[in-house]
Amino acid sequence: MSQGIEHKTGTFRKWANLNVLGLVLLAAAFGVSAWRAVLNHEQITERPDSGDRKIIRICHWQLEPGYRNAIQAVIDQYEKLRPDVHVIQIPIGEKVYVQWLNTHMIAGTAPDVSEMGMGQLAADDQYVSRFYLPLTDKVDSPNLYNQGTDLEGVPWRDTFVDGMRRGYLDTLQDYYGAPTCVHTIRMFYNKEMLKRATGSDVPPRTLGGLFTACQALRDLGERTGERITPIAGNRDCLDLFLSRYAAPFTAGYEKDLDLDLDGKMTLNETYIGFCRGRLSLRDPAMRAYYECIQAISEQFAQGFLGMGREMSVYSFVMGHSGMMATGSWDAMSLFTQARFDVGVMDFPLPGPGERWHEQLVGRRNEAVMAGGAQYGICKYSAHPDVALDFLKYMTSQKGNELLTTKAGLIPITIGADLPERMRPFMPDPVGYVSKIDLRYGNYMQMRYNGELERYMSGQSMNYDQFVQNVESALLDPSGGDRGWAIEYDTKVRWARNQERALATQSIRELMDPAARDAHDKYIRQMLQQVRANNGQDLRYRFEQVRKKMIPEI
Amino acid sequence: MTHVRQDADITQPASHSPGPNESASARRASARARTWAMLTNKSRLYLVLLALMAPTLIGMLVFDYYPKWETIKYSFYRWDGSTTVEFRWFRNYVEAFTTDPMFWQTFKLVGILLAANIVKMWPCILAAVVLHRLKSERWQYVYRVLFVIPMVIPGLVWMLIWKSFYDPTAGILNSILNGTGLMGVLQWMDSAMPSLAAATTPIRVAGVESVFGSLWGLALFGALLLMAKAGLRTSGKRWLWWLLLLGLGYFLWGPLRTVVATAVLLGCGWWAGREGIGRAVLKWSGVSAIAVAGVFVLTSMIWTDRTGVFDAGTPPWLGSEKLIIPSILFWGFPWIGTIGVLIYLSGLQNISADIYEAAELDGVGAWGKLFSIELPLILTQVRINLIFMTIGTLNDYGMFLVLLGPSGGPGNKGMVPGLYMYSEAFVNGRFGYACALGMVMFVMILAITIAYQKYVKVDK
Amino acid sequence: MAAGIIAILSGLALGEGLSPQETLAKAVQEVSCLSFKTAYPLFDDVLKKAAEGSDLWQKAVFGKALCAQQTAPATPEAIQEAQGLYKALIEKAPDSPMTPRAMMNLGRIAELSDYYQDVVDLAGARQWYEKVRDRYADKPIAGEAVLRIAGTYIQTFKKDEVAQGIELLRRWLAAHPDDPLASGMWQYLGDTYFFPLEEYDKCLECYLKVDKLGLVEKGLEGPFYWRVAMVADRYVKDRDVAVGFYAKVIRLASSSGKGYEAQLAMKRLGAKESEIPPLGGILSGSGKGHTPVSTTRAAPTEAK
Repeated sequence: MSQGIEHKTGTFRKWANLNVLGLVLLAAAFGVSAWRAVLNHEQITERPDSGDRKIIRICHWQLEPGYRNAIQAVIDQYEKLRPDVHVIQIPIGEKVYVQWLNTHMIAGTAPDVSEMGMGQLAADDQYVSRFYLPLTDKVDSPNLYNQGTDLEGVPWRDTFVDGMRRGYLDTLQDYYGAPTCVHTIRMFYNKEMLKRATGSDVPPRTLGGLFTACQALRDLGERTGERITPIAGNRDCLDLFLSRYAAPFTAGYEKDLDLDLDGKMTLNETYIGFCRGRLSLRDPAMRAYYECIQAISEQFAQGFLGMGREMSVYSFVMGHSGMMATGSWDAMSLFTQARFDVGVMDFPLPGPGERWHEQLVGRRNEAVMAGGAQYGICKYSAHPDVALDFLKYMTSQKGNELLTTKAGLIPITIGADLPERMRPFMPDPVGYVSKIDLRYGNYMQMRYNGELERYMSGQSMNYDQFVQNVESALLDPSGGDRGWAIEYDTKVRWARNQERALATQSIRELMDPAARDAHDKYIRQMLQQVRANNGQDLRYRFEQVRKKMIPEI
Repeated sequence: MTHVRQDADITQPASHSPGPNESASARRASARARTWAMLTNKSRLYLVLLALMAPTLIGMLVFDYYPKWETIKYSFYRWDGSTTVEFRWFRNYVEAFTTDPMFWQTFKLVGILLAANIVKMWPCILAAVVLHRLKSERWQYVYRVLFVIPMVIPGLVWMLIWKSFYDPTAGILNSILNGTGLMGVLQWMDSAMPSLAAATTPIRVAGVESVFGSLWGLALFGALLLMAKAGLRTSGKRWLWWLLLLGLGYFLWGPLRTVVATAVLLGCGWWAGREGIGRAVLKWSGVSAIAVAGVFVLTSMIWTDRTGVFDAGTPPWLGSEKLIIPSILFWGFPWIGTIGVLIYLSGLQNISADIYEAAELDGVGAWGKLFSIELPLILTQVRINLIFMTIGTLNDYGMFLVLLGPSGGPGNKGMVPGLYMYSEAFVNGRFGYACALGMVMFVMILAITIAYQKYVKVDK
Repeated sequence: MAAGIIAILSGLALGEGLSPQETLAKAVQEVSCLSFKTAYPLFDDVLKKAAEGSDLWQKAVFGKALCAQQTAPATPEAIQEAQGLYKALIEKAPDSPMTPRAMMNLGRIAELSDYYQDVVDLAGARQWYEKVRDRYADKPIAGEAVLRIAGTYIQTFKKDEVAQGIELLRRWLAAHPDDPLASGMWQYLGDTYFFPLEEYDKCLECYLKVDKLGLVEKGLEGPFYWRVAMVADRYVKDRDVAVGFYAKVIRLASSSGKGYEAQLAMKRLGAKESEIPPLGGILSGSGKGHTPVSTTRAAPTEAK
């Protein structure tokens, strides 16, 4: 008998070993995942309609705190106005958004309204024209949700700060998306820490004031034994500063370098200026610019070039840094995650009497803004009219105000108010916009970035060495000349590729009686193409400036 | 009891053998029938085998070989990934070899990484040996499981974890260095090493470079001494290698020194061919030459200036061009990879216990067993790992991209061929050119692999 | 090649069971999505079924030729096929509404480099454009042909040829002041006077005509107004025109980012405070002080 029990126990032990347990766990995990996947799939692909209500779905990749709630608030408000409609929000993670949407677009199960502007969705005209509904014939009529406001009767397109330019695709000559916000960049600071360090939580107004505040923060750290970095910088943050201070220092070159008088200095014009001796990195303005940025980068943590954005955010919200620079898209995250009062300030410039003030031209202008968080309508939507209506509501003065207030963003609709907290982000139209950029061509881009990082890291080289290396890279056959040749080649190909767009319109004009806009689109694109002279202006100028034939790519 | 048809049965028809009374023609017919049945059964067998292999084969052809074929094809094209597909013959290759300064610069770092990775193979081997020698099988199992567990962590996560290790202010590396006092050692070395370099440089210049042209010249001479110890006759069989290396020597030594070196090496080869201590002297001379070159490289060519990066106690490992290469070399510490250990372990487990017993009887100690028994007998595995390591070192770019970005960090110090290839393709849109770079790297890896196959021999 | 086969097969699959008219409509839809490879077999299918010379045949030939021409990447064989088809259409259906476009496309094939080492033949292109201009002189396409002819001269950037191109356009505009493309032609003239000729007074004259007729390109008023203002200010020294166009930059193209600089320029030119439009808040609560950027044709105004 005992042998029998032992045998049974042995059998039980045999079966109840870890392998079986592992298998059971695996099967259970798989079962749960499969059940969840099916459940999610049903929710996502729930087809209209539910009873009397029309159902539309909207998807996006903005998972930042507040955004989903903001969209839901807009949905709730919209559903009050349209009880016959139900809107379902589908937030999808950024990393998988493109693949997810691609798959559903191809399968014909894509949401009615989807956020555009990522990956293939932004770059491929064929993709956009196949899956998204053109909005061109809708943009000229007023947005009815603006009735009772000062935008009443104004064409929908003209109610956007950027004229809905963000949603316009040049190749297809159509509007495909409606942006819902704009972004600006600012510096954020820890009010409490600043007060402890300087005695006041008023942010510095000049660059000298910024350096003083940074030193005070360092002193605070030394006094208290806390680990404090004045500015939570990283590689991306450095780019923000470089971009922000470029126009204030280098806009003065425009009168010499802007050859086509379009109001900006292109890479080509910058290189021509360099070749003609009208621009040198040894000029006081250029030296001031780079030295200024280098001095600012000294306020970052040592080794900031190896740090990612997330480390800087972490450092700031945990109170290890006094300041950081980022865009309005991060504002809500910082406001909610920080355990202290967060202030917002503009990037300070050298004040009168301060170093580099002499070389300053003016402030940086923020009038050139592109809209963000753009939404388009799926061509295969079962209710495109309802989807459009929802989009119009989201971009109406009230709707956009609601969305951006809740999400902590800047509205794109003219007249939409922004909350007090976001007022520091109001775009500033005063200042200059054109700036110098030396990254002409692939090789130059790589070399310039490498040398710039060496210079900004503060250990490896002084400014003269930086200048020498960058200028020698520019003069290298792989440098500026090759960049010019690449641009020429790109323009020639562009002219050829324009033929495809023109062919589309000509076929539509000749064979599609409903295509009333085909002729106008054709004419606009044709004129653009003719005026580009097949890129030969670049070849001609190269021969003039460099006194040799443009190299072949 | 059911007869279980053995494999051999498959080739044999189920028909009966001809009886003694059957005529010759009947016997021939029967034999033909048997032969035919055997053939068709074999064909059936092969068909079945092919059918079973088909999914894997098709998968390999479609997902492995087809992309490789396309890579070869597009290396001759100018291809931007979309509408531009222009056949350009060898232009991409000409550009890679003649007008692209960046591509060849990237191989400097690869050379350093290859040398370092050869050294970094040793912890793996030692770990496998230690694991193998554990007396308790239970503990062996436990350790094997512990080695395997980290494999579940995706590679990208590893890289991000290491990136956070390297963070100057919050990273664990600087915390450990500061906590253990090693930061002080590094600070001291930051002064001492440049001083040492300053002291050894005159010796290097006057003593070594004046004779051998450069340290690489000394190392090459040492390598040639090691080759010469095989004697003139054997060396003669390797004439191609001699020619290549002397050609390299021409660049490093100059013409006069090349002539002198050739004469000296010929003399050494003759001496080694004779009985006596010639071979031993040449062996140790060669090793010494290489070692001296190595010592001078380490002391007088690497850490030559004071960097100042350790002064604040928060060295920027990934943010300073002076520290990027050491950071990359240190990445993965203690360099004991699961797969490597398991591969070596599988090789060690094939060593018969008799060999160990015999060694113990002969009084061979622990180190002796390592160098005389274990290492020689796992040379196949070492060779496999060497090949994978070389391929990985030449191809890898993921780590550099994650740690340093597409430009390879400050001063492009972390730019490797794989990262450059990635930049050319996905940043600059030059897919055809990137394919050509890939083909160049493929040929290099192939050449190195052939060298390994030839010279890393298993000596049982 | 695999992609091509799949495209052809899918194109054929798309055309399964459809009438020629439906197939044609499907082909047009594919072309509107820039899928020339998929549309090609559909046009081919219609071509096989259509009677030669019929309306359907004309459309199919033209469509097939266009798809052969525009399929990427272009190959010499495909371009030759396109040329052959266009010529067949011109020969067999000279009165077809697609014929002038076919002739223009033959000119485009000659003018552009379609594939690696394709030789650009500007003279050959010119011949085709001139045929269109002469044969269809009373149709809008003639204006386009003239513009293209001028383009073949001007893009050489050789002084005498540029002068020829300019002369051609000027003569045409003098004879056809109401040509639908007049605004674009004047703008092209203005651009050419600007660079490479550097004849800024004539450049300004042309641009003012463009402004009167209305700019065709949407959303690019900012750079245009800025250039006109700068030409008037810096080279021609026409203060009134400069002030007028600086004011336009502020009022009508605020998102160009040049509003502030335009204000400074106006002050420098002595414009009264009342003449200088305010920049205004970009997102001002009441919308006052801000005129939305319009991407329709700008209303023509006289520069003061």
